[in-house]
Amino acid sequence: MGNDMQDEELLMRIEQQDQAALALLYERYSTPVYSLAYRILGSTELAEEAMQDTFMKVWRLSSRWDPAKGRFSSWLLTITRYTAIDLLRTEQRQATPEASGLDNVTPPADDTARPDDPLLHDGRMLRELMTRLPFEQSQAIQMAFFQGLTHRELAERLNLPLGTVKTRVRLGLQKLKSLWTETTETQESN
Amino acid sequence: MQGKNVNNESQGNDTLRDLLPAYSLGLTDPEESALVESLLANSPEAAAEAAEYQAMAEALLTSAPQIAPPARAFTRLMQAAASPTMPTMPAASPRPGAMPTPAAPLPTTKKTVVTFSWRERLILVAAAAMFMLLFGFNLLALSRLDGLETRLEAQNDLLRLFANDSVVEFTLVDQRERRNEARAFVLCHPDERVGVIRVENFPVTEEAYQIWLWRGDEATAAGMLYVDADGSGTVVVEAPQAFRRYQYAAIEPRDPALQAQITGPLVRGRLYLGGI
Repeated sequence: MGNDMQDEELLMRIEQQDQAALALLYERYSTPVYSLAYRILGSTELAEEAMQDTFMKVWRLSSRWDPAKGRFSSWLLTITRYTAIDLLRTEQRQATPEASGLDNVTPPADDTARPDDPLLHDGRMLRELMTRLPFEQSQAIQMAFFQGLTHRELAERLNLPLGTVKTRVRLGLQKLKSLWTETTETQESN
Repeated sequence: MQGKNVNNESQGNDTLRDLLPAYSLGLTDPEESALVESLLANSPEAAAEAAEYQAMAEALLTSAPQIAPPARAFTRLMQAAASPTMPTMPAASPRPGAMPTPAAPLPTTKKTVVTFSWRERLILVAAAAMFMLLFGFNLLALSRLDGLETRLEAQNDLLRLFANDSVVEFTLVDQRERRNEARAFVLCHPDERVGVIRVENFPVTEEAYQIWLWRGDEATAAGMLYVDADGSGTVVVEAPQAFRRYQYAAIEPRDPALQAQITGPLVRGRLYLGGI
């Protein structure tokens, strides 16, 4: 089976319970899936469990992916995020309750692996841009996104008024988007 | 009239501006999301901006430092994929003591004519009445037994729930502006339909509170709850499906006096996000 097979074709084969297609999909996406799960859970064992659960959901329910609604990688990583957040709540552990930034996770050995991977390019850029936000805004965005907290839950966790939390998240995301657009346009013009 | 429309439009724009970033990253409550979606339908500029935020959210998913998973994870996954998802049920074996299939046709019965005296008829009527009476008692006992069995099943469900290591306690928080005292705790297991809800510091009322479970846009009534003089209460809830299917839980008052003060739910919180 060719390694250049498109995601759509792999998913069609997975729907027919083709294990070779699942193996290829795993080879393609296991690192971003595991990394996201580890970022949320802060434990290698739990990240492995979340990854297993994610790929098994794809194995059983691949037909639920609708190409018209977005890329497969986004769908897969969204499932990973939700699965890991559910597991985080199940384990009743807060991997990074005082998250100060994305770099509070143990630096991995192969963070620079796959430097040309387009899937990871945007993520690396965003991680760098996040460091340019004020600490409070970056903290609020990351806690909300990686722990699945709503504004109210975030306010409770940070012991802050709801309005303050909403403002932090909004200002942080607005600034991040502005930096993101600026950087993307600069890269495109180069 | 026109001035009123302009005001509404301006309010809508402010709401959209405030909520759009958080909505695009999936951080808003269901009501806030519904509000943003209704406003987005009439604003192509805001829809384009939402798309930009969503692209950023996708990048956020890959922003974690990249780590390769351990090699054993691949083997584990392939083993799980190779195993059948639904175990096949073994063929039903005959129960011990079950009636064997007759090997030969039953012998034909002889027709005989029986006549009864009045005394015998009286005994037969009395026996029939006794039989009907016993049958009635039996039915009553069975219905009581049925009720006991249901209660026993519920108790078993609860015992199973509390004995399970994967039981999670979710907190539902006060939804009122500048009020933070009402709380509810949902104790459940992702694969079970039975859970326990405990509430604290609820406004005291003799009326019930309605419990809701949300799955996507669909709300399911999951029972009622009464609070005591301290505003506390506990109830066992039985959801139509396993709890992992529900993304939110909320509790709202049914007391009209409280409804006038509290719009929407009193407390709300997230449950499970996964499941596709």
